[in-house]
Amino acid sequence: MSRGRRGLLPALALLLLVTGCGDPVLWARWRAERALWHAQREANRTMIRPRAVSPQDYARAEAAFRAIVAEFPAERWARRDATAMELDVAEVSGRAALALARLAELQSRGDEAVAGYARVESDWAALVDLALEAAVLRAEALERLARPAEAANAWERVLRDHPAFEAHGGGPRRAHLEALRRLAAGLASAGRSAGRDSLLAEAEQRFAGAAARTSGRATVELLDGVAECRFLRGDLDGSVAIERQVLASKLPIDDTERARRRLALGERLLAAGRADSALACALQVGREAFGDPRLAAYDLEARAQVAAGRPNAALEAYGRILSDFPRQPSAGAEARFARGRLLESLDRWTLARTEYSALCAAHPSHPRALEAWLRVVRHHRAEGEAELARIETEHALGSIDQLVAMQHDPVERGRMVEGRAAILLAGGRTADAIRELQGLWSSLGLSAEGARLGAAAAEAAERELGDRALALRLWQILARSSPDAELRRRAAAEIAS
Amino acid sequence: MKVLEWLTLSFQSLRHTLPQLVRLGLWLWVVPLAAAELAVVGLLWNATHPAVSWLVAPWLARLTGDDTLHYPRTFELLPALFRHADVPLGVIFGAIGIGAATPAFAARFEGRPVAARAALGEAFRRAPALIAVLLPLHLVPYLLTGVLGDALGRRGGLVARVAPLLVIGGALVVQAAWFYAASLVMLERRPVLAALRALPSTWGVGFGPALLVSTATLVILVPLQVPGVTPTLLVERGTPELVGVLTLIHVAAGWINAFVLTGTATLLYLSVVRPRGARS
Repeated sequence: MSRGRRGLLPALALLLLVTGCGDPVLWARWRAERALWHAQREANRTMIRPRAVSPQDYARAEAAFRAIVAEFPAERWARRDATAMELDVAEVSGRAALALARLAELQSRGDEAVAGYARVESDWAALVDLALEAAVLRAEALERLARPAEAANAWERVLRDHPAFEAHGGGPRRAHLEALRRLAAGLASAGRSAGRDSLLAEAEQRFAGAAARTSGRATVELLDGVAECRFLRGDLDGSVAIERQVLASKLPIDDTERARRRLALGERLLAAGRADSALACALQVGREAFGDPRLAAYDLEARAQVAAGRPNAALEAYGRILSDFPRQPSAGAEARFARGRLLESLDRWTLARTEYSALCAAHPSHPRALEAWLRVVRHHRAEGEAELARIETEHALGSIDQLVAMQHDPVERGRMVEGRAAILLAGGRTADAIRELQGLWSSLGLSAEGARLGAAAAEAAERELGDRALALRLWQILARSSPDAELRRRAAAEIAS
Repeated sequence: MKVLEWLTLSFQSLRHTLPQLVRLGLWLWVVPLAAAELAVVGLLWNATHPAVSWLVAPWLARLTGDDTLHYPRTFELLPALFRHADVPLGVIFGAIGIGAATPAFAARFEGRPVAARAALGEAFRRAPALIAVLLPLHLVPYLLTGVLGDALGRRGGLVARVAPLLVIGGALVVQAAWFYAASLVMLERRPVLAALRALPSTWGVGFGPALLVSTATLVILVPLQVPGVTPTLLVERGTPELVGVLTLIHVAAGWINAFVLTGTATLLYLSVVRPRGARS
């Protein structure tokens, strides 16, 4: 053996020794994160625009996530005694498992999705936040599947099996509060008010007890929890008292948050029918705050004035939104629409029509513009002004056609075509509306709004065209493909009747 | 009239140097520098691989935080990390490379056979002198970018907008001032102090064309600078690995830039800057 080769062997041995010295868990984390990043890129399109995605796109995204779960299984990485870096890997594979369940849900495989969420909740239990997120997603999926009893059980599990408070003396977890809200609403709608009250009283005690033991930000959040529990129980005065106590206290709240809290208090008062108290909150914020809080204050002020029976003052408040916030197009569109509705309710149709026209001209692509067109067409039909209804329908269709021509995003175009169908339905051109909808469904599938329009079109086909066969065909499509479970059931009942 | 002379000289030197890009023999100088730079990019790219993480990961974590060892954060930081790591590589291997390229170019332009390996061996032997003489050429632009660029950039307003131009201008002036330093060391075989003392004598005839050539070679790098495209943006909206690929493209553009600059410097030195009667 030559001298050179003899020197090479120890060098090779040293190299082999050294290459084994790196951290394999660090490398695993890197590979897992890289795989999740690329899988998420694949899935983003499906999650954001499910209607514009082919089955192959779904299959590719699912395969990518499945590979991550298989390569980094929970039993290896999500052990209770795992190191922080191992838990990082577990978090990645848990996120992949959650994404798989979400993709199943998007493809209407509800049972598989619910089972997927449950699996994450149990197998990745070492990751407290991820398990809680999975539990919440499971409960929400069950609600979307219209399985209220199971959803209530799932919310109960969120409250029972997962920590109520953030770590290290923090406030209540948002998911915990959400579970309380949903469960209380479910119990109330099932007529079990006593059960709801006892659940909320227990939670309130827990929050109040924790608030007494903490300080700073956590106390604010815990007191919010107490106020929420009282409000959900119907104890408005108790809830408002807590909110006022927080506002008056020296707890760490900056001006923006103070304004936001005062507005939230106003909303709560308005919901409870105390319009004048809500108005006082709105006026104070409107005077003291700037920017978005002031905009929200004007909006609350207008609604409070309406509730207090002072429509002219409300019109004036909406007018201030238009004049003071000209660069907030969405707020402007909402304010114009609200002014139109108010003027309609005051029987001042000409002025209402002017507001609707201004809205459609200034914000043609805003959803409120479509609603405005619909209100105009429906008004003329209701007044028996067939020719005016026809002219306005043509106007609206022309405006929507211009938008469709400028739009390249298939999903946005779909939304506009749905608007076209809605206008056609409102204008009494049922057959045209149905053709429009069927064309859209064949290319993009059904959206929730499209399904709702489909149901209205099926009713109109039977009522106005007397075409039971056409109505049945629409109900069959809805029973098969509507994303709304309630509508699917209704369609099945219509077919059976 | 002088400007016209500079323009003619710089144009002619570029005209004769650019065709040399295809001659493989003139690229040998880049091997040590390329090996070192590619090794660094490779290390940063695979910082978490068990084969290298024992060496790289602790350093990265200490310098930029644990976050760097997560995907895709490594790629977001890769250009900045490489820019810092490239300074010592430029100081050592860049200087040796320029030193090796200079006699090779001289032989080529004088019509002699190019002994690229011998030139590389000679550059390694004269490495201390090359490194010392060319040190400002590598350090000043780095310091200008790091210190002056950051300080002015932080002030905001017009100053922040002008800051990149000031940094580029300063770097070009230093580059032009040290344009013929390698020729003084490798062709005239001057030691460090003698080479530095002789530098100002090259500026009378050579500074103008050197500045123009340096400015012209910036064009090589311009297509790689898309306004507003940052590593963060590429990572967020594109593929993180693309940042690594772009870094490699920048590295390669740097070699081409160095090739052209060294070639033109040698040609200008031999034809107009070198004192009459100096040895070959």
